[in-house]
Amino acid sequence: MLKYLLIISTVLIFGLFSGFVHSDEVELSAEILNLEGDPEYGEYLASDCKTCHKVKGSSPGVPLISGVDRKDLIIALHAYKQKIRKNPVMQMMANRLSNEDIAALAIYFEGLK
Amino acid sequence: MKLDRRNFIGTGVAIAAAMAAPTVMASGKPRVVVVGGGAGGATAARYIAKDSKGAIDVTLVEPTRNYYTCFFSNLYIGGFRSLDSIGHSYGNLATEYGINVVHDWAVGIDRGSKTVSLAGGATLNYDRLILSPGIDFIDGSVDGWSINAQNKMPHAYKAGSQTELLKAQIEAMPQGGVFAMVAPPNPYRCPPGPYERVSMTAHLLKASNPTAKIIVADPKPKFSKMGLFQEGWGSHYSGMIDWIGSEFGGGNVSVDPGAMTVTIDGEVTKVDACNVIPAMKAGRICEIAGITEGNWAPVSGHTMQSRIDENIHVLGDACAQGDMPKSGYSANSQAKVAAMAVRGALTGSKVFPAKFSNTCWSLVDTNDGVKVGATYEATDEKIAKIDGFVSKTGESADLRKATYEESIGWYSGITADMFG
Repeated sequence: MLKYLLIISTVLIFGLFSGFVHSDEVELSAEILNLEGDPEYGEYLASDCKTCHKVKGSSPGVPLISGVDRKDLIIALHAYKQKIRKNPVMQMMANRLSNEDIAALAIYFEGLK
Repeated sequence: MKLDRRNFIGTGVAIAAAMAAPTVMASGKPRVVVVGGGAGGATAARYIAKDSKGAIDVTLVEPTRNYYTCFFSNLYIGGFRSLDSIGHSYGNLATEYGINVVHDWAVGIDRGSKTVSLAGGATLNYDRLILSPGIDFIDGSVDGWSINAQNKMPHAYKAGSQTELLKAQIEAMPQGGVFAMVAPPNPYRCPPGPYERVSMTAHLLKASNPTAKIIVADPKPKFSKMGLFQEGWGSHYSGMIDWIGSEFGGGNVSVDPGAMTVTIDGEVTKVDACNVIPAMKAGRICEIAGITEGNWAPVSGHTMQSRIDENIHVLGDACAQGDMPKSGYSANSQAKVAAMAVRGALTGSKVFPAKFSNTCWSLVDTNDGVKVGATYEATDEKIAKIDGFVSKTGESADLRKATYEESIGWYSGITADMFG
């Protein structure tokens, strides 16, 4: 059974580097949003993210993703994958991620408090 | 029983205890030696040490105590970064991750006995060796230039004192003087690097020496982000930069460091500062190890293992892998694949399919950043490009500023990923 959730948004202040506000532009099924990720696999995939995203602390231009709520990360990555969010680096990185990859990354980064 | 210096415990009680239990003294752990502490080597050492949680003995051999990244060194030339801000020490890798950091030169590799010999006389044993030595220059590739002339005409393609020297020479140019660059042939470290350097030199000169001229002699007909750089040179530094590509004789070049002249296609020009970036090859230790074919060390993209010796992995600029550009980001990406493969081979940890990515940011002028990037996968033949993007000409000032800010974040991220 697929129940589509419409993710209601706060306003995207600057569409390119919007951080992890919910977007009203991405529609995800409950199945995708609640997919159980494998944190070990997520840790492996995350090594790609850590070239730019520091594990501790953020930098101008690259937001902190450690400790971010799992669902916010899933929404953000799908929004990049669907080219709704505009940053070309993130669109490219998200483009090769499957639903399972995104779930694994999200559960891993959520755990980095 | 072999005594390992690092396991030798320095108190009488501990020694007595250890003697009673010899297995404590013999290391027994698999050993990894990493040669080169840049974006490939430092990352690989850190990931192996971090993820094996002490199960693998990691030694990192790097001659410099303070490592200056080649990436962002052009921003130092342009005045956007201090030299200190691109310098990094290995303290965290030693203290936080337990890596045995040895500041020495690797001068010999015996692949039969699996040993690395160091200039200081020590010998290191390895089960797996990771070579990430970066580049060396091909002798005689620029007529008239040799490494002996690097103070007169710096390459500044290994960051640190060479970069300082080049910047000082640009700053010392007389009003209306001439800066020349001899650009390298493909393949070479950091494809947009020479052109970002031209941009940063122009930025520096525009403020202090606005009538100065920049001549670039290039053996190539085109270069990375060419449209973006040329757009920026036109809008920010109009009339200042003369790029002479191969179609106009840019490859027919010789230099005279004594007379400070550059001859391009028969025309002699007196120059006040000259940056010679020669043709490149894998760091010399790869040749010494006997794992090069031509100028580079071929590797399998699945594991970054040498095609010639499966106990050696080669990372970054030194390897021939396929489609990835020679960049710090690429080396960092390859290091993670190699670290996973090495841990899998030595401790049986899980190995996932290799994935790679790269992005190269360049600064054209204040808040005018551009970028190019791609993702890659391993095939049996090579590392193959999957997808990519490049900044577009005519982008808004806001987008260019955001791209520059992103590059600052990337620098902070990758150096934390390398040095802990």
